[in-house]
Amino acid sequence: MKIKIQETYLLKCLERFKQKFIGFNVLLLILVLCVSKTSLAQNISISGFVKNAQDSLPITGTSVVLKANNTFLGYAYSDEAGAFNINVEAIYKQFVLEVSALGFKRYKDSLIVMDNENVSRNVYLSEKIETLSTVVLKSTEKIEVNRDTISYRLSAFEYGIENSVEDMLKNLPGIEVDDNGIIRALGEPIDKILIEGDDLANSNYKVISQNLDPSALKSIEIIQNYEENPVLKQFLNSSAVVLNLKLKEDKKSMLFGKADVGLGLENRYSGDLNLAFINPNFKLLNLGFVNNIGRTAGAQFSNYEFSIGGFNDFKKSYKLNQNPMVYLQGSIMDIDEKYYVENQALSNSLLFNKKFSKTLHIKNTLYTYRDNFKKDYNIGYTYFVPPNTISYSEHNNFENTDFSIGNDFELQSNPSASSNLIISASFVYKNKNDMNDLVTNGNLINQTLKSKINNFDAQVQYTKKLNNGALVLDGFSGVKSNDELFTIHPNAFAQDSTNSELNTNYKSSLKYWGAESAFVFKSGKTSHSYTIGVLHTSENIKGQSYANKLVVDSLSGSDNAKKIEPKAQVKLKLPMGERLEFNAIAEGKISFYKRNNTSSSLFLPNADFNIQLKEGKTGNYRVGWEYVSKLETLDYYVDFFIVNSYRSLSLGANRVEAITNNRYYFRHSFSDVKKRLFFSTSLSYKHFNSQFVQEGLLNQDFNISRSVYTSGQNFIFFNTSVTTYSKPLNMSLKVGYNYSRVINPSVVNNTFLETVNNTSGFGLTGTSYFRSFFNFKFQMNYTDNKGWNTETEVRNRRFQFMFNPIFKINSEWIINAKFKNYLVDSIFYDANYMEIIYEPELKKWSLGLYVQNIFNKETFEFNYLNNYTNTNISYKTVPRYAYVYWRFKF
Amino acid sequence: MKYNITIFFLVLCCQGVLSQVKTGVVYYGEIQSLSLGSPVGKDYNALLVFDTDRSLYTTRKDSLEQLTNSMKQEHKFTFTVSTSEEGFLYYNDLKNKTLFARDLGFSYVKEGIPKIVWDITSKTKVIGDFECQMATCTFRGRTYTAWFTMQVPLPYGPWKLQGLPGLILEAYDAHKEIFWYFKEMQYPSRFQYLLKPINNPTNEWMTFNAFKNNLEEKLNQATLNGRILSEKTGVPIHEDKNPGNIFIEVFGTF
Repeated sequence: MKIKIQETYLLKCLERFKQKFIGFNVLLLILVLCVSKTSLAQNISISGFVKNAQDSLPITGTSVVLKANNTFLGYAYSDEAGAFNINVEAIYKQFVLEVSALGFKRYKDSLIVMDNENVSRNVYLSEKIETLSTVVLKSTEKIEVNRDTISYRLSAFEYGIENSVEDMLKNLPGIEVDDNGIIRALGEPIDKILIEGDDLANSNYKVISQNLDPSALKSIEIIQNYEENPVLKQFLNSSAVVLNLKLKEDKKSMLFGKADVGLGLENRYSGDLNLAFINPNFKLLNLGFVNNIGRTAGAQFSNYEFSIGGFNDFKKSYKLNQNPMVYLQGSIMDIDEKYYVENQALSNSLLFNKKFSKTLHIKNTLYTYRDNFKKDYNIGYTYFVPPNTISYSEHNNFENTDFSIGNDFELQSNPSASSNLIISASFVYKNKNDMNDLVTNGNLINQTLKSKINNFDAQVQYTKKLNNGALVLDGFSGVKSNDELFTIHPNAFAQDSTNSELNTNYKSSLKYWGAESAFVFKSGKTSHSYTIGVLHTSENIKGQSYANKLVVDSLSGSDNAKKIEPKAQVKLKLPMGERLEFNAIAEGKISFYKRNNTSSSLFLPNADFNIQLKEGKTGNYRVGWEYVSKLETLDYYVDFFIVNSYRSLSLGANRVEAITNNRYYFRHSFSDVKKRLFFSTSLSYKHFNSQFVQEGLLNQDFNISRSVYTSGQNFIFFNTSVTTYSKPLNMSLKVGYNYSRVINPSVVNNTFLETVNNTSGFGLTGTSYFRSFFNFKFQMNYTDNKGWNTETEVRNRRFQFMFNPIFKINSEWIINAKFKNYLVDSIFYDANYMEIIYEPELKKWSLGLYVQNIFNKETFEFNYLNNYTNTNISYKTVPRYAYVYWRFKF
Repeated sequence: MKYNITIFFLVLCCQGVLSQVKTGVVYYGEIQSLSLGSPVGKDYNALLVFDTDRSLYTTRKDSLEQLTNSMKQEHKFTFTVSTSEEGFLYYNDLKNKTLFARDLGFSYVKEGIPKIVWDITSKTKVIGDFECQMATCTFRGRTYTAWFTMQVPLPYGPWKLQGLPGLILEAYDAHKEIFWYFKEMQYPSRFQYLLKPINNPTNEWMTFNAFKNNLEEKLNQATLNGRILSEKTGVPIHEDKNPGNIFIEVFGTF
């Protein structure tokens, strides 16, 4: 439909012509010629003048609309002379002409137009007093829009090379994924990943982000102020952020998944299978994999215990942890374990979520995994202690096997908007087998640790809305047990050690229960809460040690402790003006502690005060002070010697005392957008008023120690960095400096020793943004580690360089490589891999080739300095291998 | 006859003087949520003052926001836009067929009123007391849906959207990342004094092309800032090569 307003002037002239000089026939000829010059033969033209009925003056800017069957066909506005012209296709014969102008009564008339006829209609409008006054919202009001959700349309961000949801997330603006798979959205770590609004994996979201195929997704939403508790959501601002995966329409109720198979040299294999059954009321996800190419299973379940910082932490976990008595895991280095630890992993997780009704929701995760690790390394220890420096070395072979099966269950019921109930329970069973063969001082020693762990935890939370706040009631309980059998052969502690064996069995258990009730209020912008609670724990550690079937008294014993701790806590979040905010948490606990038959009571206060200044002229600031006082678990206080290894025994502290520390911190960040500079600084000082240190006797063969309390341990951490973008180089660059100083007091060989460790480092990192098929990231670090005490001074220097080039040859081929090099004692070490990926367009499969340790380096070496110990470790690498994999989606 | 012609031309010339000078005012809400996928961005108060010959659309002006209630919830978004003393202004001069603007970057831009090709559909809805009709168009890289009313038969609307047979009360793009919604209308109003041309202190107006180049330069700047942030935090970020996620008027493919 085209509107020809430019015809109006021509017609104006013709009208006057007609009136004054020329006959009708000629006029018609000219008119036809004019019209046919610019329009098709099948158009009709409606033209005319709009005038004021009272004084016949033309009305400018009148809206003239032509309709047929209530459909708009064309429209025009009258010009300064009141003339208009509308041209439309001659599909209809019957039209309605509507002419309107502000301050005039609307004119409506029907026209019947014959083919190719041009109609002329002059319209006279009568004036009227026009008043329009409509208010939908007051001018200062805003409409209600749910601002908590940002949605990303994935079609705009996918490149077809994403194999997991994690790969897709890395493409989205505002979302970051770090090397450990921890996801941040808009700068905040996320709480969980939902699928179509339903939670399947709780804080184990890596199970979904690292395994689920993204081609089933339509969009990803970032939901802020996420609060699963519908009562608290009504008035508290949660700072929790979650991701919600929304599925494509055809995936909303069906079975889909992906499979992955890889085979390579040196008997390498990998397999991956994801199956999903999704339905609006019922979701089932099964994610499983098996491999020996460095992808471990346990890491997915290492619960990054997500804690919502700040005021709103009413969905916290009350689980208590129990430490094992013996650690037999070996040492690791500062580079990816896949380069030096041989692994075999098997994992399967079954995630389930069902809505029984609008108010009842159940979710469950059943998971099982088996990890096997092999480590082979040489390690040399040097202790800088009086009276003489002690050195010894070991050649170690480790084989660790972890088997675990666990289940997490949660039920949520909210019968009304003012009350909510959550019941959750989880259990884990772990069977660990750790074997270590080592050679030291010409002797062969074998250490074996078999552990059986059983954990059960349950929690109930009830929330009820009050007038301008809410009441939150929590009840929790749990039982944990660990049965460890540690065998050392031969027994180095005995006089005649050639054929003897030391068998030690530790049985430890932890039982706890507790309750908390909190009142939460919000008045204006200020939020405050008051909590009272009580916790009861009962711990038991029993150790029995046999050397050649005879009980070793000094290494056996039994310890138990019970405590009941009532507590009270006040929290405050007070915004002061636009940019300043004050946060405070103050808590007081009284611990009635009974150990064996001795009772004591301790007062344990805790506090955290900080002030934030946001978006000031010179940047953002945060200054704070934190005071922590707590009691440790029973394993720190055992009064019989614990066998840590073939050469190490330790004894717990002889009395129960609170561990306390003060921490002061300062953070600043500032950006100058014009100059493209971003500064960031942080400084933190921690002083321990009371902390455990080891008081020990060290010699060439043994290390016997005891925990004692001391004050005087100090940490200072400082770091600063500047980030910028260099236009000529087309690279972003960051330069940083960090410094730390740790002061460690201890007593060794009856001498008081204070060791100071200073570490300073410089770093330079950069990322290129070339407009070509080649781009890279690099990192350079120089670290200087110095440690000294009255005995001696040690210095370690390390230079590290990482280079990560990416070649995007075309839309189907990508080559990705990573080289990590470092210099230790003038020897150059290199950990690297290369991957070539082929992704044919519009196909559901892709192929890849992966090669690791390209130059077949045999060992990696590192130096570590900690307190008075200098460690040199030389690891046997995973030899060079290559494997090919095929990925398929269905 | 001569006398008639003279009167005729005299009347034509005086028409401008004798035409109605009553002004009307429409209050809109303008929500800017570029790249966010839904109207969750900052909500500005905007004002359209009009008469039969011209209109002036004002937004992001300090004085329009002064009486606003503060946002109920805090967000983690950071926006690079804010209000200023004069705000952004769009003066639509129908008589001279020119659109004057005080636009992004406080650039003074002058262009001929853009010709927007509207497709009027048969869908209708009621906004306030007005019966509105739906129309769609593609304008400078975005697809807009506008609801206009014949009860106010003037070719005006928010921002640069104009040219329909009636006043546009509500308009939005495909995902409501730009969303103008209707609040209030008064006609006649007491705001005649607001309806005047934009005061350009230097009296130099840039062409639309120059303005467009300016915006592209700003997009490059924003990209570089993003790269700096990525380097600082040590995590890779995705580069948004889509200018539609940053500017309303998009050039090239979208």
